[in-house]
Amino acid sequence: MTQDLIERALAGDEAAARELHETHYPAVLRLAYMLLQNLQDAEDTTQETFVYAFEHLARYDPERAAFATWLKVIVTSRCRDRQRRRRIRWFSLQALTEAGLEPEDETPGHQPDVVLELVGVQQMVWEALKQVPRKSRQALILRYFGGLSYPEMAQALGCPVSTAKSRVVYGHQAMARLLEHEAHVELGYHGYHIGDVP
Amino acid sequence: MNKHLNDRRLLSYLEDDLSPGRRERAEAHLRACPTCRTRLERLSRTTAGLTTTLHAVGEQVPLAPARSWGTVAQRWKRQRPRLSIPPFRPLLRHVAMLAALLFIVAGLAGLIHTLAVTGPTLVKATPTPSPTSPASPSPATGPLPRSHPDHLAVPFSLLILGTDGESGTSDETDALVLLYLDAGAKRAFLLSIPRDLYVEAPGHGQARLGSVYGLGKQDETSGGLVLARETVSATLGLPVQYTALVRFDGFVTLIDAIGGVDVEVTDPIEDSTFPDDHGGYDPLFIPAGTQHLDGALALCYARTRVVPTPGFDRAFRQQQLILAAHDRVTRLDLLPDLIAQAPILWSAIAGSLETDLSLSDVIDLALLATSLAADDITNATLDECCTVRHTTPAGEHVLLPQPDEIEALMENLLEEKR
Repeated sequence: MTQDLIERALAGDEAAARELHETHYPAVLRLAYMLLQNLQDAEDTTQETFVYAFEHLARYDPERAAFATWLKVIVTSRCRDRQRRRRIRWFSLQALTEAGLEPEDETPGHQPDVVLELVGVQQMVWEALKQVPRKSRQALILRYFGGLSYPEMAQALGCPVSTAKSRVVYGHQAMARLLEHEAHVELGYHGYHIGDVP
Repeated sequence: MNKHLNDRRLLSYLEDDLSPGRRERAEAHLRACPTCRTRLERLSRTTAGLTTTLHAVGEQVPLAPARSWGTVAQRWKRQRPRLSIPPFRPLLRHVAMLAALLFIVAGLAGLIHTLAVTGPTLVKATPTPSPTSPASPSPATGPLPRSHPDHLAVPFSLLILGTDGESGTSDETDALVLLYLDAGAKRAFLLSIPRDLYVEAPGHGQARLGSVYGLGKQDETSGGLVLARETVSATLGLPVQYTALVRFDGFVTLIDAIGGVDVEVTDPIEDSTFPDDHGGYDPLFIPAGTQHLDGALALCYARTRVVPTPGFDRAFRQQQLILAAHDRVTRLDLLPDLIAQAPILWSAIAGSLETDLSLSDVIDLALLATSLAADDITNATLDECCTVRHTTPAGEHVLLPQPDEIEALMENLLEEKR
């Protein structure tokens, strides 16, 4: 089914490409949003991902991964590119400001632009996750939202497989510290019950 | 008791990713060790918590698949043609400044085309300056229309540079388009070249193409136009005979000269952060409907980055303005005035236009342009097909040209329709 659509898209069939986009767009956008925490950036990256995927469709090998997984690998690496550019831009803006020049860049801010309605423990977990160091956070998102295997994560993150797994482990350690702290400070009791959420 | 399981081992156990022997040992340890059991439980809870939380967040991310597809399809289509370049379509990515030059060409083409139909007597009247402007100082005027554009009859290329700086304020060129015209073979193409292309500027080393004009300007021996022309010529392996640089203010002058333009604004434009001239904001609002825009407002319309609805973006609006200008000029009731004004117009925009073309060259060019049908003109972009992203040691993001790919593209363009 998917393979049939891919072959038609490869031959330039726009309706087939559209259907592929339709099917996979939600998962790709959501993953991009988690990684970038900014809807505008996530939408741009999602579009870049599909344009890239359609252009390089001939390179997709169904033997190696599901199409959805291939897209997730692409979107992750695009998000990493974007974050890198963002850091560089931030540094250069900082240099400008220090030099007494006002930056005229109209790039959108990085504050979250989606109002999330999360309750109780989910809110706590989400807030904690945002404080996990970036690389570990990406690993947790790819693992528990993207559902990627460690070899797939390694490809998306451009690191060895063992490093991908280490990042998940570090991510868990950071989450444990953050949640324990949160539980002590906010709720005044020991332990937390994340597993209880629906 | 043997030593505690580390976090990595616990995770592997949880994910059922251990060899049978290790699994057995881990289970034995867990039975005996309450600490590790608690840790395993916590790991399991965090995993469940992350999974449910992330999916809950995912559900709340607003989806706009139709808008996304609109952009994807447009960009995909633009990049898809490698071997067969599609004919010129109205949705070109030309920047507003280019509108000015294309407008001169298109507008004059319209004039001359009509004159050719209505008879030669009017043509003779053309060079007469309008009585309202005695002895107009027109720095670039040459003799007005010749019936045969002899010296332009061979294939030639014109490099068009666009800059948003007002005269003298900026030498960075934001838009570069090469126009190639072979009237004999009835063939033409427009090639957009990225300003971030990292090129060898003769005598100036490696530089971004957008900065080459500025480099040449500081160098008395070459000058900006010449250096830009030579650089592009060397990069593409194609002789470039003419160059023209158009500034924003030239665009305003031209639109005002034709009394503004009428455009169909499909959705209201509201841009609270439109930049003013002093580094601040000058909020812009253009209501929906058919709007008459003067030069200054047309420029804002072309420059604002807001996209009220998909497809109604900058590139589209710029194209809309070119067509609106063309439409207005070619309407018969405007022609007599414009004929009389041609030399004045030319001198009015002289300050915003730097070119090695004379007015007569432009008119000849217009004549050639009318001899071509829209289908004879191909449009192409020197994009990712011929470049590789790169960061220079100085931290500049540039595109490295791929000579073999560029050669193939040029061959393709020159072969097209032969």
